[in-house]
Amino acid sequence: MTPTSGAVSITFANQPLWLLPDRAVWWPGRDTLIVADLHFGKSASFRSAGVPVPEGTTTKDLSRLSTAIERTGAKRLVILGDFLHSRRGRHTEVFDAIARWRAVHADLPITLIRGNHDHSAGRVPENWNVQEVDEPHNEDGFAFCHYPDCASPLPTIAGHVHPVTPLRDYDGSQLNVPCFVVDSRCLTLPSFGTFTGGHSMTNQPNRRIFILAGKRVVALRP
Amino acid sequence: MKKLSGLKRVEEFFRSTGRSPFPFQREIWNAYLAGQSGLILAPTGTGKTFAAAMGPAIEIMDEAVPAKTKNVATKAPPLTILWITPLRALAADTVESLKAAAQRLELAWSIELRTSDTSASVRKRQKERLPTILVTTPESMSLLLSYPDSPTRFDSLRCVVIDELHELMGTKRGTQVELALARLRRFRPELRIWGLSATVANPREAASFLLGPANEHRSHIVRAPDDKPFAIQSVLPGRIERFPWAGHLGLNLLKDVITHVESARTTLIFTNTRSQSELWFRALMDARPDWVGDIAIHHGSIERATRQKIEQLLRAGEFRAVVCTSSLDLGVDFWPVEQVIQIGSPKSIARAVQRAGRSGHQPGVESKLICVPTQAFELIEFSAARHAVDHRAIEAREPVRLALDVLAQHVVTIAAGGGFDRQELFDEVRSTHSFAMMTEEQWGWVMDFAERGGPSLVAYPRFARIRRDETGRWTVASDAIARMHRMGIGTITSDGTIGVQFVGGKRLGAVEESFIAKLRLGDAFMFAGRRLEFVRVYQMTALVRAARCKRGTVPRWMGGKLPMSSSLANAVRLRLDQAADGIYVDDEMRHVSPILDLQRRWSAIPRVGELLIEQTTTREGMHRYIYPYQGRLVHEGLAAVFILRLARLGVAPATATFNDYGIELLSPSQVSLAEPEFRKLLSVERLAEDVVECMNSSELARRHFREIARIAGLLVQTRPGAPRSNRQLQASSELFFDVFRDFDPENLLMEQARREVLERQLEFTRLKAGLEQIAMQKLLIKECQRLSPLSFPLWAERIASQTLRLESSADRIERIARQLEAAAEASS
Repeated sequence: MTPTSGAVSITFANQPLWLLPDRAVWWPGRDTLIVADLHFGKSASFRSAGVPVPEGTTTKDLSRLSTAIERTGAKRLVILGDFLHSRRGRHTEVFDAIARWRAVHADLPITLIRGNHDHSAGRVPENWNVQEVDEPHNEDGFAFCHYPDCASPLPTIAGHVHPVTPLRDYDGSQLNVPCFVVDSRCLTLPSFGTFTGGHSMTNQPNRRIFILAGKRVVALRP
Repeated sequence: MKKLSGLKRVEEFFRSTGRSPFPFQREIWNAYLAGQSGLILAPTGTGKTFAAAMGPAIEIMDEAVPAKTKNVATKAPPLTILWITPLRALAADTVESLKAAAQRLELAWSIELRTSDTSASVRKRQKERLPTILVTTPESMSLLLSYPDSPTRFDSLRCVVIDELHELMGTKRGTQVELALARLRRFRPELRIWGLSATVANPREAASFLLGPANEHRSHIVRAPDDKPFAIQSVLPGRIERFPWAGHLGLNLLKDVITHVESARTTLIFTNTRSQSELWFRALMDARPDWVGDIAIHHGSIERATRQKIEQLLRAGEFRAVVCTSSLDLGVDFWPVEQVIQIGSPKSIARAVQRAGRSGHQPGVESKLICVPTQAFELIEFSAARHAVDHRAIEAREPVRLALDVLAQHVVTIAAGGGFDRQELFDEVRSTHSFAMMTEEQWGWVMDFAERGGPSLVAYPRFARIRRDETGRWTVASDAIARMHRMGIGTITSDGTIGVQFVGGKRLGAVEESFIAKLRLGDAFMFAGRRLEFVRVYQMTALVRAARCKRGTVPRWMGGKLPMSSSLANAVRLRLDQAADGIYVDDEMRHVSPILDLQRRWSAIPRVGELLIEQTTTREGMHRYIYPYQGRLVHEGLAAVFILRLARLGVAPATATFNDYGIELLSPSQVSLAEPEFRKLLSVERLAEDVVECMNSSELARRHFREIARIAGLLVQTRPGAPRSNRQLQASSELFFDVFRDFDPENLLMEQARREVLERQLEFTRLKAGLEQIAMQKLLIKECQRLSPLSFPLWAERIASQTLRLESSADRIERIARQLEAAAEASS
């Protein structure tokens, strides 16, 4: 499998970017993989509140992240916020799994743009070696942000809203599908975490939508 | 002065109201005084409330009163009667009428309400000491059982009354009541339990529901004579050619409805959905602006305080008309109501009787129901309903069995309410009708689920809702969990609603979050009888202001459509059979005859021995309409089986829509089927295997999981103003479903979702009976050039609502993506 099978390439702010079916963006110019909204510890925070959710999403999501890193050969990871879900979710079973994953990818520099959940969930443990920064985080003409509407003059790459878009089926029904949303000034990523919902965004002028259809990313016609 | 006996005082009280006790009331008092429990079956307005309340009153009045001191004389007796009603509106009314009676009888009783509306100060007082009669709802009843001192709070309780029993049987709220009653029976073995109902077709099962199967034979069932005259009449549209077939909500008959409203002092206008009530209210206001303040709207999503005020004013005769939903269905006494208008089909005989009974509430007075059709075929239903009401062909309510989600909730309730011994609680739960068949294994799983969230969560020590103390008793794991649990008690699925409030002003009620999510700034919508403009969402509340424009959408609330009962469906088939012979027995049938003639010309009118199938091609694809006339519930199950079998016949994917008359199967492929293929589709053979295969398609279970997830405590209830940290605990039932499916497929809640699919949609015996009936029928296969009158409502229903499919979301996305790509290539 090539790094870009099933992916779609776009040019955003004069830079080639790949929208991957792994719910991530690959920036070959900087050997960087970009993801948003992992929400680690979400199911654990449910359990600590007495809501019985099985664990499993953390390991699954970490292994999906590993797959994306290995396929692209990324030398760096940028997380656009909401890495941790909440303070209640800071549990050993989750943190141990992340620490083990980090040990496997020990050499990979990670930058986290803090999101609203990260602010209330508290700092990332020191030994995970994650660089935490506030938005906007500017690099090579891009502003990396958590909020798509962060007031940066630069073209923005962001998360936060977990975009999904309604598709119409032959019988007139609608179906919400996670997607990438490319506006003139902002590229919004779908949430990477499995245990997350979505906010509906529809097509409009000056906007392109790319849906996640299994192992492929597919452009919606404007 | 010689002290009168209790019975004499009660007779005196009846005489003072100009009446004397009915024989059935005396029979109940005697049975009560002899220590019996039972069932009171009496039409609305015949005195059920006093039949149930006066037994305990006589008993207490006859008991030797200790030497009076001032203190004793003024202090109300402790909790004696617990009165459980399914509706808050009903609760307030019951309190009023009991209070009035107690005053006339000079009883120093305290009679109070306890619902989710009860103020904190009253709650606090009730926490110290419960009133003599406590009128409450099933949810508040469970809540009472969840406080640590609950085992001692019912020491003086003698009698429990379950009002409007038929509303609770057949629902999970009923299961909740059964479990609470079992608890109370443990506290008070001599407890007398009486159920009240106007309409129960299976009284022995109702008694088992109340008392448990072991005591069912000791119940005393009292039936009041039913001589209530009912008149069901229809508003006939002027010209049948211009008659809408579906989806027009009957508003074209607005003028006729206005004429009826003008002719009576007070009218109740019943609609079947909240959206419909909003539309009708607006239409009435627009047509008669002079009625502003004279008419009101009442449904379950409108703010409680507003509803209570409307009920008060209605009782005082201050309204000309109130547009309402089933929110005013139950036995509230609204004396001034002179007539009842029903918009659309009442869907069951029991409901027709109940709604008609809102008028002419006094014994012996005729109850009148004026029916307004929203589509032509409803006239057939009105005609059929009249026939069935005259013969009192009222439907039986089957109690829900083995609702493990309700039990999982109850276990935590009892753990919080003083704790329990595992074996004792098992025996107690098994004493109910609902859980009599529960196995040790199922019980073990429920305990496991409450303790650890099920076997797969063993590795997560932080999760625990209940735990065993050193003496072996099970109690709730922490106060925080008890608090969160109390917030979520109940079985009515009401998650995902969001409050609606004027900017800086009054709260209007609540609508579904998904509706608000679709609104943009400045969008107009109709709610609580007003045209509103959406401003923004702030802290789980949608802020609005009065809209200037005339247009606006109406929120659609989730929640089931009322299914047509089999009694009514059978009556409809008989009418159609007559129509096939050209016999039209009454005004309704004569009025609908032009459309039935059209149906005959374009397709056919099915007789009782025939199954009509129509095939029609449109731009959407190939439509197959099949009309078993077995009611929505059976059709839902058959639809799933048919989709599966169509795929085997090479027709896939397919989408099914169903109503009470039939099923639409829509497929983009244009394969036409003939009789041998249809016989395969409709065959009884391999039904069991096919049902299992459908059940394993997770799409069906997913539909059922929402309700189960909430009751079992997966969906955390958030209220406006709740701490932000609770917001981090929000996830949709869909997400839970996926996580369970992927990481804990053996979870019994998943199992229950599959079982509910099997029981409610794919109930084998019912489907088998349905297909066996079809096997005896002649197939009438018609190729139609266009949609026939019978198929049109089904076609319209699919456009308007949810459909059934077996294809997974992932497969659908892939299929649509392929089409998108193909279309993109074709255009480039």
